[in-house]
Amino acid sequence: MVAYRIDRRTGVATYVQIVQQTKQALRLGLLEPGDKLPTAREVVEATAINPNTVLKAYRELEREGLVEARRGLGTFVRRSLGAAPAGSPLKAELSDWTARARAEGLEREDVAALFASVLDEQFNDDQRFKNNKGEPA
Amino acid sequence: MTALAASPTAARLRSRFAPRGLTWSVLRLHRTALYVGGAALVAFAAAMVWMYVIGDDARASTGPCSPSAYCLNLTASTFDDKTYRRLVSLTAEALSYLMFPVGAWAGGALIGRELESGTARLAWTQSVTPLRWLAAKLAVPALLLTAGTTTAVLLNVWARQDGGPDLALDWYFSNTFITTGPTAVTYPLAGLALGALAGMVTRRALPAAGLGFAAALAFFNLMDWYRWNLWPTSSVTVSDPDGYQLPQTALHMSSGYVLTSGERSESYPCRDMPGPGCLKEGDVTGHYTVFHPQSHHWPLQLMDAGIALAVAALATAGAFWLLRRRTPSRG
Amino acid sequence: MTDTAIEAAALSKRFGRRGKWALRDCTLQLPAGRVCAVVGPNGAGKSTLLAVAAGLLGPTEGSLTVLGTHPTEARPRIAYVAQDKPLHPQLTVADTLRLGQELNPGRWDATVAERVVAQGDLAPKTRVRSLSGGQRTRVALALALGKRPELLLLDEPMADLDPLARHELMGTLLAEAAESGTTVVMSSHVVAELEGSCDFLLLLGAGRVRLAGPLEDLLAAHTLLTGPAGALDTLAPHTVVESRTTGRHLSALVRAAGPLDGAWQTAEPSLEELVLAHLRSPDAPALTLDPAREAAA
Repeated sequence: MVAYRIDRRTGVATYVQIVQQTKQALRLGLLEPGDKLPTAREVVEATAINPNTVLKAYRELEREGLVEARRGLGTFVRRSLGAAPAGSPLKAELSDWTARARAEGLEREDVAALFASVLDEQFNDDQRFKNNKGEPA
Repeated sequence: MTALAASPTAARLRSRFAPRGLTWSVLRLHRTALYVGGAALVAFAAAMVWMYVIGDDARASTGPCSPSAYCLNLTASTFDDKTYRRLVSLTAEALSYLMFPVGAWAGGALIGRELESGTARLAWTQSVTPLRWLAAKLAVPALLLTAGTTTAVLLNVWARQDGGPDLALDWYFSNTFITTGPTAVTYPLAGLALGALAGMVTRRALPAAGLGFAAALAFFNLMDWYRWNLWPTSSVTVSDPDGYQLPQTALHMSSGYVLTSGERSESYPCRDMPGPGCLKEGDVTGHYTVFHPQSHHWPLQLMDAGIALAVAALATAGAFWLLRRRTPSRG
Repeated sequence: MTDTAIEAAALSKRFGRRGKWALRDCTLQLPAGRVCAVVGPNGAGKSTLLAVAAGLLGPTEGSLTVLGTHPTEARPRIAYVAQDKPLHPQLTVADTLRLGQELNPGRWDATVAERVVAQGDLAPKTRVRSLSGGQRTRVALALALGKRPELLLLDEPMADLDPLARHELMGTLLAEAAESGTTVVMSSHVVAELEGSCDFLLLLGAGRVRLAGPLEDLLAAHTLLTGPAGALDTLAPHTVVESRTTGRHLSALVRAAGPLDGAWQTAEPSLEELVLAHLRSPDAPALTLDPAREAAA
């Protein structure tokens, strides 16, 4: 079972927070296939967020094929999200890149800021598009 | 009042006749008043039974005093045990003054407090229209009051027995009059309606209680002043200058002399007490007396009760009018 | 059930013949199934609007319909909780719920009402006069929810409550409302307590509608800009709700009419930022977004 923690100051849409936290739980193995997500009622009661928001998040997760709603029973996890395998080439590349950055004299915070800005650059357009339209296409 | 009586054997009957909806809510919200009213009725009934029981002894000690003969009210002083007389006047006062607390209660607890605290709006946002709410607020106490005062007045008439005036006070004493006929029922109803109107006007508990009390007081005193004008008086003219001997049961209104011109004058003839403005003996042809005989008791009762009912109806209409003006309705 | 919970057309309300207008020319449409926040400073007309919708006050001009009909016709389908939560102090909690049952024949759901009360650890025999503020609000909500209303009107429901009670009650309220598909309209002057709970916003100012529409659409229609002070001129084609200059730094909330030119850093405002900017700029034009425009959420 996951407990959602909604942070209203981040500026991240509430339903996105639920989606992200569910995915995080899937990645970390806290949720496994067959596990039941809390009912919308339970989430609403515990967090006092809009019921439509919870339903929207669950629909988004369903659309991505991560969970499925079984009528009258609840919402269940269909598949887990594998973390990037430890030995993947991506990780090796990132490791190489980080070592180079360090050799050039960058501090830990510098590297983190740089990485975050690139993440923003690469993913942010996509994110904003979703937010503005309300419902992803 | 009987609707709340709990009896384990009558569970089925109770569930069938148990109050529902608005009736339940009025009874529950004003349970204290219901208990106080019930206790007062029980106490009154007990006093009436007691009065009936000691009535014969009291009567025996007053001696004969025929209603047709003029009878100086000396018996009061010779009657040592004043219990009976006290009981009579106390219960008559209690019953005839009932409209004052009813008016204060209706203004304060029944209507004013609900408007002041917002609980009236609480009711109006359930599935109950404001007009139905006010109707129940008035009808339930009105029914209970009618039942209670009818019982009380019947008990009173029964306990007074023949209403021997030396014992039970004559029919035309205010409190006796009010408590021996339908006025005993209609006055509290007028108090209820006047109180409710006061509540609607002030919309505050305390001022409404005061205004309800004052309105009842004003009504009571107006009726007290004008009551005997509600039915035409009887009049007797005799040539005997000593005047007409009224039966003790009649209410004397006025008396005086009839002049040769046919005019009536309350001035006295000069032979008794010479003075400026006295009547010359030759001018006087007779002596008149204006009075209400006891037979006027019922017409006067009906007029009085009718006026009380009319006041109650007007005040009720006023309360409904105010409510309708303040709350929206379709169209 | 109708699709529209509340519809007002040129609604105006004035107290007394020469009084101040509490509501002026309000036109709005609230779709059913929403949780609507009615926001605005004190005296903006929030309570008046709710009382008109509850059928307690009549409009002076214009009209307002609730669930497709006159508010007084819809009385059994509406629940209303006034700001001071009036309850009968002499009744017990159980008697208060019984009152709801007796006054709502055929509608009352005792299970819901008792559940709401039980969640607050309230003994049914407790007298209302001895309840704390939060408990009192809970009983008032139980009375409202037990009616299974199609439209629930709450006037400052969480004012005077501590944060814990506020959070708990809001959770209870939203969960129960969601279960029965109840449209919730709640007024507040504390915007923070509404963030995340509401999906429809109605901002009132001086009796007029300032903003009305689905919350996401309203937020998306506004952009929070920061940039050099000199660039203010480039905003001419857009509606500037509010702009503030600190030295050479400019921050502004705008309704963009097209792409924004210039060296602006943009962000979507939060509910609080959106509301505060409009409250600080009472002259900013009103914006009403048609709820029908939004795809079914």
